[in-house]
Amino acid sequence: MGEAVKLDSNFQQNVYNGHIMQVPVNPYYTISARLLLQNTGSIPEMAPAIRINILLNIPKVQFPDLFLILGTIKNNFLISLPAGVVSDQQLLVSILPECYLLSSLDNFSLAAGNILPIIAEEALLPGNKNTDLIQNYFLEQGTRPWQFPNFSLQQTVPQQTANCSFNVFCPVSNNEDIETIFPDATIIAFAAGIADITAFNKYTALVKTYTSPDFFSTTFIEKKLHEEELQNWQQRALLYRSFLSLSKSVQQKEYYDVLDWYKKEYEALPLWYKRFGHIIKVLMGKRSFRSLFNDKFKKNTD
Amino acid sequence: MNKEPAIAVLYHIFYEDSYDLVCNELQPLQPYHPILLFNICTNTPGKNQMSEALKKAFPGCFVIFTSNKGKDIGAKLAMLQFFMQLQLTADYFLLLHDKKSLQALKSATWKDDLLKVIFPDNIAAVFQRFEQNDQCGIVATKEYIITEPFEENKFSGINGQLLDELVLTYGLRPDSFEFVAGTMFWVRAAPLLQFFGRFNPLEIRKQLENGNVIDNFSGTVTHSWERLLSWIVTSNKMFITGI
Repeated sequence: MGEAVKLDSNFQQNVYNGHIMQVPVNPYYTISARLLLQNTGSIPEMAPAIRINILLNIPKVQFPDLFLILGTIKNNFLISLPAGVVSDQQLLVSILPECYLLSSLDNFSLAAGNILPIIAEEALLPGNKNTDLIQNYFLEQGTRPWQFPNFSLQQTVPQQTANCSFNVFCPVSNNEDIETIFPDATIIAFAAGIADITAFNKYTALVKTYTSPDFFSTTFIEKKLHEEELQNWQQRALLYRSFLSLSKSVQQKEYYDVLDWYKKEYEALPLWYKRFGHIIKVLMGKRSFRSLFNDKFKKNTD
Repeated sequence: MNKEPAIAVLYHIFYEDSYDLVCNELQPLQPYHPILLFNICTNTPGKNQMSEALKKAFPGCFVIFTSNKGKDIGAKLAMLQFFMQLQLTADYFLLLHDKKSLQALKSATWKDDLLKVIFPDNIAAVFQRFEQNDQCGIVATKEYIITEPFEENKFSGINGQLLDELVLTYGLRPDSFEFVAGTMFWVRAAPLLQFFGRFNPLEIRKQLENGNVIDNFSGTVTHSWERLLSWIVTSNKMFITGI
């Protein structure tokens, strides 16, 4: 348990078993794509260090605007799908290319692994079989396997799955102490009360006030990134080795192809024709006359 | 006075040491204010740092990371889908990648030759070719415009069988089977966008091979699409011209 600290009186807190939760370190703050698009003017005010989890609750036609925003901001982000979208197979299939491309943006965060949370407004749902459609689509595009943890916006108790936890903050009026519950939790959501991004900024700033030093989170992310980088270098070394061995076979083939071409196009000609060809070379100035009779003379002129 | 052409550059980066190269290559295009889309391979070491550096060097550019699927062809398909997703407009695309082809005998000059199309002295000539003739669909380095062998009503090269199937599937009927080897060229945007509006590039990308495939020994879907990217354009009664 971490050291208890007092909450700011203006901050709306959430209660968990009589305690107020310590906010996890360096989390992703859930924000709806709809809200993001309604507040494009305020987006530059968002601190680049804030990591966001975009709930994709917009129609397909609005995705281009979302791409323009996410493709240009510096904030790292995750994407989440509303449970209603995932259960609607036709709707889900129609937005899979958009989901894949969003996950391909350079500021998409893979620090916690390939995670695409499914978020329900109501109580937790059992696993949705339509997540197989997402998984298959992503795998066919050459990604590593993804996880699809289910979370509920109604549950204020910490919700946790492999590599990912989810905390929902609900409005309450009294001030309490807070204590560490999940130092490595990854996602925070606000159940209600955020009307624009300015307010979102205020809440995330307040939440950050009460977070533990970023030590665990930072080292966790750095370790992940370091491991990935190491793996990439190892793969790259193997690739260059394979190029060496491949180049031998390719160049050997190219050599024999050229030789084969030479044999078919030139060597097959009768000797008298080839000799006549050398006389023509002399006449064209491509070969010295004396080299026709003596090998000691330079044969070809440059 | 002609209006400035709207350009979108789709640049695929695979190698970890390509940053300086990319910056130098794109420098002559800066006066044209191109839309820049970069795709860096997810397996490229230092991709995050390279992405940051690219965004500093080319403010407003977009960077995506995708797996090594279909080599530069798969990357270009992903970037085309991304471009369409952004609903941006362009008159011309410039397709580029950091080609090394380390396995090939001619690897040292291959890339340099292909890059003739963005030599500062040639850029104006490229636009002139497009503007002078509406049927000019692709401008590329002339030495790399080659013709796929087609005998007795079928393709006879190493990718022949795949090409027979693909041209049928996608209804491509170019007048000649010329294509740009190396897939670095200027291309009119309209025919590509029209085709990929009908056939989603990511659906095509699914079919491409993973990893560093080569077609020296057997045919590949990836290398077949290298040809199809040109034929999409030439099937619209357009031609390829070389500089």
